[in-house]
Amino acid sequence: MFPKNTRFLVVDDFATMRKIVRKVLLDLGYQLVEEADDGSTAWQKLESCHLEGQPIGVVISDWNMPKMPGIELLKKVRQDARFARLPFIMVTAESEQKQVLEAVKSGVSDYVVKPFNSQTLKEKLERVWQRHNAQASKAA
Amino acid sequence: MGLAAIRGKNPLLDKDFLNSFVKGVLETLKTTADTPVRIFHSEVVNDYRITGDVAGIVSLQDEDWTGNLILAFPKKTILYVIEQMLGETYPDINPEVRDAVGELTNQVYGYAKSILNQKGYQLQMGFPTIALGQFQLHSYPPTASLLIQFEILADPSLKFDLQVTYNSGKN
Repeated sequence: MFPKNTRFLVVDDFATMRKIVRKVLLDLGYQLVEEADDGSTAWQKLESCHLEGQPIGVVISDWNMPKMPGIELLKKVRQDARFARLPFIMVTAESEQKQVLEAVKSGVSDYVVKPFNSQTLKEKLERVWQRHNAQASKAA
Repeated sequence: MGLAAIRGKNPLLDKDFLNSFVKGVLETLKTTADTPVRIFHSEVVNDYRITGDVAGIVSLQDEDWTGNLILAFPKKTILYVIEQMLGETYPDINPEVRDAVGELTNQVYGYAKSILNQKGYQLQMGFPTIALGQFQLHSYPPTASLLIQFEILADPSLKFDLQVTYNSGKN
């Protein structure tokens, strides 16, 4: 699993969902949780944390948000060399096949469909960690 | 119901259409809020009247019709649901409770939309708005709307409404 000092960025326009995800992360022992209410605020947060030497280690983002939706954030993240391999989990009520495919093509690390329970999110995090870790080992 | 059968028809006559919203409510409340619920009443109404203290409303936009999805809660019910959902007690309907109603509505709509668009509907993404206070909406010109009333299994005195309205033609 991701080290306990991993910094998470939770992106959702509903504070309730950010609170639910934060609670799951706290239960898993993660204290460093940043929040943003849409993609553009999340992008600013990613950049500022990077510049301050406290980089975000995992993004957990909603899809359907005003201003910049999660899918646009994902594309922007993948186009930037600083964040190209950053684990990015989409948590969304959008589960249509074409949307899942778009997210996969855009480089999403995993996809959690709402409604979900804490166990589902924990399992996805574990899976993303294993994949991310395997890629990092291969690259080394 | 296939794509050809769907186009031009009143979706309130499509069993799959209605079931997708009902399943959305059942799954969302059970999974997100740890609150199993059941239907205790449903009827087609023409006068579009909802009573409650807080409601999440999403505008339904398909290719050739519009409508609304409304999830309306009395205060007592929503405060119970939010406590189950967040593990926090709220004495009144505050901004956090309103936000949670928005998220619940969003999930119900997303669940139904995913099922329906795979069946040939073309529902667009929508953002919930929240209506607050003791309200009665009326004088809306839908051709019909379906009212489904749910009760919470753990305490059947706690009830809430799902209403789906249909308006033929675009606004």
